[in-house]
Amino acid sequence: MLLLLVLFFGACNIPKDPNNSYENAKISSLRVGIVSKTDSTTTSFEKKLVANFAEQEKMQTQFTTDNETELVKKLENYQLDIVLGGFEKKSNWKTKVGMTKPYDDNHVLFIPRGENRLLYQLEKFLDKNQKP
Amino acid sequence: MRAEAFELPEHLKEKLSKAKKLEWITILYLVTVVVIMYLVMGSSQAMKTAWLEDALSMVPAISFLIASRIYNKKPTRKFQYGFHRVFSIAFLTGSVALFGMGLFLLVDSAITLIKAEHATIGTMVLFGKQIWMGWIMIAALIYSSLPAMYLGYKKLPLAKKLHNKILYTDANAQKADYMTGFAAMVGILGLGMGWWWADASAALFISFSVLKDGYTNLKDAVEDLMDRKPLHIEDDKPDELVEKVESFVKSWDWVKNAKARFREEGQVYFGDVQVIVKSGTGVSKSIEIGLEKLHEFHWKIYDVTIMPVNEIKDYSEKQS
Repeated sequence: MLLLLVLFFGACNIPKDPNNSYENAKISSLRVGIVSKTDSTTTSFEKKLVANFAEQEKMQTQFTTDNETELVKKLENYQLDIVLGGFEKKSNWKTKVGMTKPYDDNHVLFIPRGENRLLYQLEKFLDKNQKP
Repeated sequence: MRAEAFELPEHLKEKLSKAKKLEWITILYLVTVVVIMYLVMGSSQAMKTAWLEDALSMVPAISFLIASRIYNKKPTRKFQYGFHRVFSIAFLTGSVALFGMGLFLLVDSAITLIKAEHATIGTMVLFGKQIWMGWIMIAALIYSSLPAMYLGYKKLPLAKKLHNKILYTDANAQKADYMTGFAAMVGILGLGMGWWWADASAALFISFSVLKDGYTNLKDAVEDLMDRKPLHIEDDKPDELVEKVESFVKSWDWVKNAKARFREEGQVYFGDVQVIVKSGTGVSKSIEIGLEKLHEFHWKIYDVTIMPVNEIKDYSEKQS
């Protein structure tokens, strides 16, 4: 019975995004916020990672640079899809944002809370592109 | 008054040891459930609620096991009525815990819902396949539901036979466990469908059921300790045993009229019987014989005083 349930719901793309971030990114573009004044090697690595993700998903990208507070606020209002800035998994923003699992030992990307389809796709990508 | 250690009748002793065994299994099982649920709960409110519910449902099982080691000790100089009420205390403890947790969960889930917090649930890689954590949570919930269902089903008849409320509460806690499990599964599936509110709503629904159980049990436990007339466990109807004792006493040839009252002390009943004695009876001798007869009447009638009076005082006519 469980197996049937899994097959049934698996077929209709569970999980879905409550705010359709993933679908919208496919239609228009993936909106990425980059924190200004961060360690440049981490940021450029993350930028490349997200760009690769967008390419694989055939998404346009649109980058915005700003300070952390502004970017997180935009993320909370679903005006951005991803924020990167060398965040660690124990970041103080934990209660305001959703996080991917770390792409290395410690660093994560921020996504809007509850956008589970976007998270699913991102983590699928991150799993295949773990930083050595 | 009895001074020896309390003994259940043979056929019930066996039931008690069966109940004890079931409670040990319950505790071991719940420990594994609590660990597994904790590992997978993530940020789901429904999972958090179900997890606390499971953790809490150990309380009745533990208090039953502790109480069942104490209740049949011999009366001591300090505790001259024995230790039967330890079950009532265990029952009160369990119900306070349940009630308190219900309140906490209700408030917590309501806040989550009002703040419109969206639960973020990621993925994990299992055997090289990427799986949404929601599916893992549902699997954990199934593990927390089906065995609980079976255990509760096994305990219910034992609780009724033993007239043991804490065991009954525990059987009901298992029922709450699997109801909770199913509600949480619905919540997580809803979340997967993109309805962010499904998770917190399921949690709210669960907390209502916990609160309701907690309230019912708390009320019952307090009333027990307030020496309410004995009730049947399963339907809360007055136990007809009290009336049976009364008519049994009335049937003795030296008794003109009688009135009995009893209270619950854990599994057994304590109480007194007022009797109007027919003239020409050797009162103290008759009473001693009468007490013997009552002790053999039913195992639940445990500690009785027979009191000769000129006029029977009726304490029970005012309905409350």
